Amino acid sequence: MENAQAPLNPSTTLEPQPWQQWAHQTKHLRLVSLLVKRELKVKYRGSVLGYIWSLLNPLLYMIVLSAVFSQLVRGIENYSLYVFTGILMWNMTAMSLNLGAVSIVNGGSLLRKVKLPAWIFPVSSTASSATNFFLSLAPYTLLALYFQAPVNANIAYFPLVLLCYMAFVQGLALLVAVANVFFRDVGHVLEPVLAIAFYATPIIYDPRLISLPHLVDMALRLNPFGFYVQGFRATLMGYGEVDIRLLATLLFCAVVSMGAGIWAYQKARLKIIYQL
Amino acid sequence: MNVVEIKKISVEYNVHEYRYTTFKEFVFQSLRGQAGSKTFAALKNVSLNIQSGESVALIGHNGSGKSTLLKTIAGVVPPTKGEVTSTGRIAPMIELGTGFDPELSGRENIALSCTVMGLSLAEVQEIEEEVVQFSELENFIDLPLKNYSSGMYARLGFACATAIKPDILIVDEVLSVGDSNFSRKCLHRISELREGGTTFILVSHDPSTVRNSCDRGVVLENGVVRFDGAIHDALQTHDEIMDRRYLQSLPETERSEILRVRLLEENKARAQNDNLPKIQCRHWIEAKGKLSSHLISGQAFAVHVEFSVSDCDRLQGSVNVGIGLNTPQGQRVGGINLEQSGKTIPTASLQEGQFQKVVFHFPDGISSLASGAYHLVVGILDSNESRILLPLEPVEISFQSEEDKENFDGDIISFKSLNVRPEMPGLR
Repeated sequence: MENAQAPLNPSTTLEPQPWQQWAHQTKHLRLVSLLVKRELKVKYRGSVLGYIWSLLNPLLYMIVLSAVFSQLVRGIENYSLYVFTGILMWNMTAMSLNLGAVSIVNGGSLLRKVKLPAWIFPVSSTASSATNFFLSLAPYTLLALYFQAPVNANIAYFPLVLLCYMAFVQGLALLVAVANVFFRDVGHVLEPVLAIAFYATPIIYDPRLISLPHLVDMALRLNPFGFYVQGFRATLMGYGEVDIRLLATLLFCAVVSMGAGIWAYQKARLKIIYQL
Repeated sequence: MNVVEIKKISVEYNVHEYRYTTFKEFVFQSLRGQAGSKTFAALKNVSLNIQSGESVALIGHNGSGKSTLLKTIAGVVPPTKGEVTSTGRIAPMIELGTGFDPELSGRENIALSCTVMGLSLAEVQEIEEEVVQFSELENFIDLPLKNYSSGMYARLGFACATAIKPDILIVDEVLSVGDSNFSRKCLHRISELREGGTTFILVSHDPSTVRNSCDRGVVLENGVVRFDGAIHDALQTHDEIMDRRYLQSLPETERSEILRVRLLEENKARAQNDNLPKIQCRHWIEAKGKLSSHLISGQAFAVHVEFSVSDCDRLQGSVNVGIGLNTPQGQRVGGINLEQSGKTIPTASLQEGQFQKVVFHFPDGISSLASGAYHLVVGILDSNESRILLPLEPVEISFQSEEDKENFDGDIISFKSLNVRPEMPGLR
């Protein structure tokens, strides 16, 4: 049987096709799952409430933010839930990028000793934050029921929106992870950038309900995070509509981000080990 | 079959005069035009083939590139030029406990570490119990690793790396950890793996480890292969290189002085060797008329020495025979020779090829000596020059003392038999 399967052209065995390389890489996914488990276990080990913290954290944020801003921001129905969806999305972004930025550098002790592809580290950071996100969907459901959110058929698009968003965040995480290998201050830069992005994204306000200077308004409208939070709210709590233009934008941003991440990774792949 | 093929590889590191690690520094240095870098070649045009089942030691001075070579074989460092192909599962023991996380339990770490080294879930479950047993950590395996002692940590790490039954086992200076019982267990495990066909690649500075566990040695110096062949010759080449480098590091005057002294010693030794007569010798201990290696205090025994000299004319005086008792560590406990007893064997009385017998009688045996293992050493000397003509292998003997109850552990002689007078001034 083995002979029958042997390729006629021997050069194909020497130069594996790209898809073969990718198939070969998927064997590392089991390690990714273990790394995610470790990340979450270590994060909550020693705290009394354990995993419940990951559920309580966005709730507490929501309570604080909605209490503070509900007086300033008016005209949004279900404002608490509006803030909550924003925070859920943002937590995933911030966690993924913060963990992702240092992931390859922290994984250096392993990369210097075992033959492993460096991508598994940013991928497990994003997978960890996605797991965290999934866990917080439980309290979200309870809240949505409590506030009687006008959930409609658009919720069917939620998996698609989520998938696009995960790909989008993954691309960015890959990018910052690779960049941080070569320039160790990326992590420091990331902090203020994320803080600015938090306010530039409609998490606690709705840009359509406030009048802004034209330039600022344009900038906010081009913020990809804004599209995704819009998508999350439209699907999860029936706030706004889901149309083909929105979905196409989400998909486009995801593809661009992933493309940039993979491009940077491929370009740096062989140099990473020398920098760790 | 070659399991590792290395074709003309070079590994070059960038050595920045001032290495930038942050974007800020990069910008400023680029503006000043200093971002250019020098390269340092850790390996230069190295070619090496390793066959399945071979055991190879990589030997070299610090910074010779042996660890880099090990890492390129493990696939961790891609070579700048050339090509490395390795087939089969590699267990890189560049450090013990690859992939361990101190926060996780021992069991979780087994899964993590073995997965890192490429095992599937089913394979991990299969070997888990074996790892626990081998590392002798049954009672601690569910505790977090941070509570382990360094010995326990090393045991678990070694057990993981060898349990995966690698085709190629790569070991970098990690066998010296743990207590002697465990390092013996490790060496046993490694020889088991080797018998099972595992290719073994070792980096170590310890010549005895290298000699015992490897057949082939590759000597590196400054990133270049200087020697590749039998382990004995490799170690010799390595010693020569180390010696040359040591001499080079010395100032000129000191170096020439050392070389001068060495030359003198070499000449002297050669002259002696040429002049030494050929001697054959056998020796044994008799107690109660029987061959024995067990002595009891107070019991008579005798040390018999028989020797023959083939070139009597090369003797420069009378022949002297000495015996001594050493601890296994080589500390002399006591000894005596013919001359001290006022006797000699004149050269004239020796006949070419005839065995001459010397017996040292101990009619009262030995007393005031602690029980334990000792070495009996015998030497044939030339009385005029005090040259040792033939140093002999020590005979292991055991001694049993009747005064044991009054003896402290570890004493060589009991002070009770000596004239010791304790005094306690001030106490009535």
